[in-house]
Amino acid sequence: MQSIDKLFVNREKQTAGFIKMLQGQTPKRIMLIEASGGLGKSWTVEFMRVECQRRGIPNTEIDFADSIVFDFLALLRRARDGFGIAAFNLFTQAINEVTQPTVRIETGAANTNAINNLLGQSNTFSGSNVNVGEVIAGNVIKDNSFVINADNAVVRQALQDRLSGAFFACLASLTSQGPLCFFFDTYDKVTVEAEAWLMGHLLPQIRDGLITNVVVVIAGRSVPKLDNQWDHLIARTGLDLLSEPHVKEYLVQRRGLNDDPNVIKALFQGSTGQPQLLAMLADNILRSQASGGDDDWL
Amino acid sequence: MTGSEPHQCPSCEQLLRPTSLFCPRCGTPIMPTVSNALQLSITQILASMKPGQAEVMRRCAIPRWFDAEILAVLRERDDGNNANILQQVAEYSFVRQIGEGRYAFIDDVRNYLLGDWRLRPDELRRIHERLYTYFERRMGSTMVENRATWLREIVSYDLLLASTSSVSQAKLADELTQPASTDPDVLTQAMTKVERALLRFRNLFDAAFNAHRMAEAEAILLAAEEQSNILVPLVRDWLLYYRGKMNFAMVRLDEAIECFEILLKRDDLDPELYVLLANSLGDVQVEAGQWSASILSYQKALATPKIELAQQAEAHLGIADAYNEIAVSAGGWHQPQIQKYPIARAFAKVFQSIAIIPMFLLVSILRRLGAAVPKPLILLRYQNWLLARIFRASREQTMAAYRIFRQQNDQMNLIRCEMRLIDIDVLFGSVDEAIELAKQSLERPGCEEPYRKARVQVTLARALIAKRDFAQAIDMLNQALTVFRAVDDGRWEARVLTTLGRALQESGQTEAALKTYQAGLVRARGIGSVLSRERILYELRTWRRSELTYPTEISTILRDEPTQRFVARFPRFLLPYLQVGQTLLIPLILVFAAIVAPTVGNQTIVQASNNLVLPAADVYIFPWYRLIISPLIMLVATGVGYSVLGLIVLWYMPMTQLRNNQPTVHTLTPDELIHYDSSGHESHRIKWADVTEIITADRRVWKRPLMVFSRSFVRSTMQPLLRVDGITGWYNSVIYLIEKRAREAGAQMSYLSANISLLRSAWGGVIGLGTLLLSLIIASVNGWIPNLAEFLPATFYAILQLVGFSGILLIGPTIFWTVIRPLRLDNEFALDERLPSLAAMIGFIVMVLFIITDGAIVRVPIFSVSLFIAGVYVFSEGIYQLGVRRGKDRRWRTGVTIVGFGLLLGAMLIVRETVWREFYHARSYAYAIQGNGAAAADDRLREVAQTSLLFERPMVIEEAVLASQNSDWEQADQQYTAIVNNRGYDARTQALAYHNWALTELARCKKNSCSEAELARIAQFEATAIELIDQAITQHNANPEERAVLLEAQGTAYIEVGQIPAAIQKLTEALASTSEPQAQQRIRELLNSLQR
Repeated sequence: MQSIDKLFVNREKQTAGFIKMLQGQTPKRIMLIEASGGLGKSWTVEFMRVECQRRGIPNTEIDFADSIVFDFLALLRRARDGFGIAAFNLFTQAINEVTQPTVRIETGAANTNAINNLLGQSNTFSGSNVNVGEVIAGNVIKDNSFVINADNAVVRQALQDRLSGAFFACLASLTSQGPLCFFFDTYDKVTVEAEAWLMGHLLPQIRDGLITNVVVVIAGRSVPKLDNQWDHLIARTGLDLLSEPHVKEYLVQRRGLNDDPNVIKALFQGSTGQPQLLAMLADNILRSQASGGDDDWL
Repeated sequence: MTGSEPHQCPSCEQLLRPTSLFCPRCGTPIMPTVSNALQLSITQILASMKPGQAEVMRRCAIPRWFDAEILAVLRERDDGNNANILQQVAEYSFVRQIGEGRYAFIDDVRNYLLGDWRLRPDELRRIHERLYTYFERRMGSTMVENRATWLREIVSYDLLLASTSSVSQAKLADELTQPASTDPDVLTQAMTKVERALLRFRNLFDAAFNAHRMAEAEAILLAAEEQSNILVPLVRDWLLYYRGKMNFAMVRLDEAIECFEILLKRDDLDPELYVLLANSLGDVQVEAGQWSASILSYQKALATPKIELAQQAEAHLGIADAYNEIAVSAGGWHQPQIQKYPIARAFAKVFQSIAIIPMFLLVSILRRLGAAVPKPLILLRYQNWLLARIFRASREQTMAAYRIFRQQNDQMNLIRCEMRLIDIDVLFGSVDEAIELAKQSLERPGCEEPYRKARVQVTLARALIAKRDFAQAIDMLNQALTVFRAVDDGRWEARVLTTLGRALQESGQTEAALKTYQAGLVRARGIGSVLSRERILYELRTWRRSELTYPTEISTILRDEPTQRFVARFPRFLLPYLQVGQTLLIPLILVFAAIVAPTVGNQTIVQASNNLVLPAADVYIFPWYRLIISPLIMLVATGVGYSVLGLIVLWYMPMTQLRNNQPTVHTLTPDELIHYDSSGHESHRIKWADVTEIITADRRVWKRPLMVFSRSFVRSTMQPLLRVDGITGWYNSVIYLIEKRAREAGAQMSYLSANISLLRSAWGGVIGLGTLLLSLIIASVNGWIPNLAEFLPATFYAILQLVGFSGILLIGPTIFWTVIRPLRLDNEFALDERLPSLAAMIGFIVMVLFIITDGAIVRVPIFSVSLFIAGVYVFSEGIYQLGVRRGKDRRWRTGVTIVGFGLLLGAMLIVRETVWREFYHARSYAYAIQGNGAAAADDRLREVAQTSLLFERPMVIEEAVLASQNSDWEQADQQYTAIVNNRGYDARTQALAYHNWALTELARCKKNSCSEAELARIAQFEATAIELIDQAITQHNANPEERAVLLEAQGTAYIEVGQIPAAIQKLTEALASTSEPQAQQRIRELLNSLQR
């Protein structure tokens, strides 16, 4: 894969807006990039991520094109790993407490505490042979990588709510030190649970001011449908086709093609300025200039 | 962007290949389209590669993603170069890294290449087989938590392989010209493979889905759906079904319904799938609030012959849920507003105690027979009938499910059913049975699990509250609350808080109750539970309605709750029936009273100026016992009828109508007003700022709108006129909130009030006046107060009596309120089209009744006339409105208008003489009371002079006297002869006839000389009259005045026959009997002349 720095052109409007959001120069906190295929959404997201890294801003990217099943837990784990696991010990501990082979509510009056503490530190799970909360590498708690395994939708929901609570507690702590950023790419393939968390937890928390200093970028062929209550928080944008100068910049400066106006023009017209197609045409030309590789792969 | 887009050369129009850059015919350079350019690019990239490299690139498009291991499978070699090759593949711009070491082609490129692969099915199938084997191997050697990932891949490849195998066998069979040569076993085997693969897929999906691992279930489904176009139809059908289920789980209800409905339209569905589909569709529709539709869906499932018992039970329970939702969404039992004044409360209580008797008797019998029926007090209010019917239907369906679950010993579902039954028993007032059942539930295996137990406890607590065992109920609810809070079940937590609030409220802990309700509201709002929120709002509203002193915070809470839902208490289709029923009730009671109550008072005798005597005008009197008994009989009959009707509704009201017409719903959110129509579909969504006009058309007795006769309308930009019926629960609150929110949103709106307060309007004043006048006249003629006729000028009294007895002051406003106004309003807003026809029909019936009873619909003639005119008017108004409806047809409209007015005019002409006759009659009565016999007799003769087609009174004497007065001897002779020869007439009539006949004959003899024989006949008449008068005085028990007139007549007769002493004796007796000064003077003068 080639680095984004090498490839990226144009998209000044989007990136400038994004930087403003990071710097808190605008009340907007959520950027929605909606565009059809091949217009460079993932490139734009990737470029923004690089920008974050350059500025030392914690960020995480969830690409729903990934073959991973982004259930609730996978989503939070991915986000945690992106921001840095050290800041999420409380959350990891909560994961280790609730992700057990079986969750069964103890019965009887004598066990009221067990019920009360079901979601607390001292909960008692039957059938568990796992030591929870194992500490590794100093202050970082290791995730035991179990899944939520509850036989009841309500209990499952309760566990998820608790995990979400722990996650946001850690996130709030992290945002007190500076801004951070969520990137959601290929939103058109979002899973049920991921969407539920995004729409039911993350975005409302931002809207209601419960977490601050957080920027969210969502890109896809479709993006969440949010009503006008969100207008003050949302920057909606699409992606245009590249202009001829940008095509030239991409081909000559990024991909190293000769600056032949006829070729540039032909490629611009052939690609109609669509970044994906342009990249493939460039691949094609570079491929024709190359020796054809060393080996036949079969 | 998949597939190719063939295009033409712009110069020579040669059809070009998608990848052509030059026209092969004319050489024109061709600019490719975007999709063609992409295909061209990938084609050229592949073409520029070595064949092996290109093939590997093509193969990489087959799996959804690839890593080094999968690359090895695709290359069929693990030679250590895979990582290196992967690196090279990843360099291409159309390859995306989707995870650590995992890559995929961008969708457009992959789809294009997959399209190519489908042209090489055998090769594709071999690669699928290799991938399938690989994933199977990989699953066997991987960690537990990743097994699902590989299993998902295996199952999707299994489906692909089974489908392609089946399709290839089918193709083979098609290609063979001799079907007999096709081995049927091969096809069967192929289908078996498909079914096996499908079963594997279903098991995997269901395992994830039922364990609420939705993301995993969705991933399994996505994997299977990815190449659905090469799957066999059976598999595609199942995938669509599961897609619907996923959409339901994601609360994408419309999409879910669409998936299910697409499948249900097919008639070649797998029966098993059909049942699952119908039940699932029902579940989604219940959730979407399309309860009527959901019931139909469940019934489709039940109608399927192959339905399994458990599915049958689920369908029954689904229908029970739908009915329950319809009922619960309406709030609860109707709570009448507590009366403000003690006397009104006492009156209401007395009325209720009397009215409940028939219902109490019937319900007691039914409950003793074991029927599930609500308490009499609940059924006393018709507003509860429909709700009770729905709850009964829900109970019946629950019982059907209950029986199946009991047969299957399904303890968990038995508990589900029992909870529903307990709730209904509590609502029906069968509290002891409910408590017993709840205890039975708590004993069931499985109920020891705290979460389940807590739910049963809440149900039991409701029964305990009904039993007024508040302490135990509160204790139980607190236990349950702990559990629900522990597992963070907001829905049940809100339910517990609602029930707890009720327990605290009823046990007198006002402040705690209010706080609990508020906490419940916050919780319900937090989790977005509509039913929980509405339940609490219902409790608060009934609290406010049932107590004179309630916490003032309730109003604030109800005003400020951001989202509120208001549901009609009836489906709209029932509204006209209720309107007609309620409208007709009071007029029917009045008409019945008018038929039964009046009776003719004793008729006295008056003497005309020429000594002729005739009966005075009679008057209807209203004996007190009839005045009380007749409405009472009607009320009792109505009460019995009402109770029977209520029970008929409860047992036999067809639910079909309800299934197609559920109550409408208005939801008020902070931003907009949403209306769901009778099929549960959203029909209006109005932003508050878009409201332009609010029109209220309420009908009130005093201040409170009558629910079935009131309605309001909301006009807005871009939306049709929205109607809010008075039958909407908490109607006043809805209208108040709509106005308030629209105003606060800055809507530029106007108000139009078409309200009527029946008793506070001019028409109300008219009704009050009419009632007062009628009461005065009745009291007057009954002798309860001094007779008004004595004091008032006779003409004025006659008019008053006519106006009072005609009931015009009561009928007029009634017609205005029940016919004119509704029809005009109905026409203005294009409401129910049946109303004009109904009005016309009622009017027509009244007209026909008038004709077939010869004008005597009721006893009092002038009241009959009023009813007739009212009937004609209502008929005319009805047909006029029908004409207005057909506004485009001007001829028709003009025609009905003319017919309407013509009818009215005709009716006026028909009754004109009757009215005059009644006027003279009434005035004659007044004159008679005032002792002015001559004037009274004159009016009697004027009365009889009126010819009338209808309502003929027997006035033979009066007619004969008129003939006498007119010196029409022959006519008089005939009439007197007819009377004296008819034994049907009593002695008095015959006496009067003989006497008058004699006087008439004398008068004739004075003008024309008579023979001795004639004079003897006259004497004979008088003798007979004298004899009959004696009889009449005895038989009739005549009053002093009547006796005086008769004795005077007798005296006159004696004079005529020459017996002066006897005449003096009779006249002296007459003088002693009368107290009328005029009569006294006349008799004295006669006596003096005799004595002289």
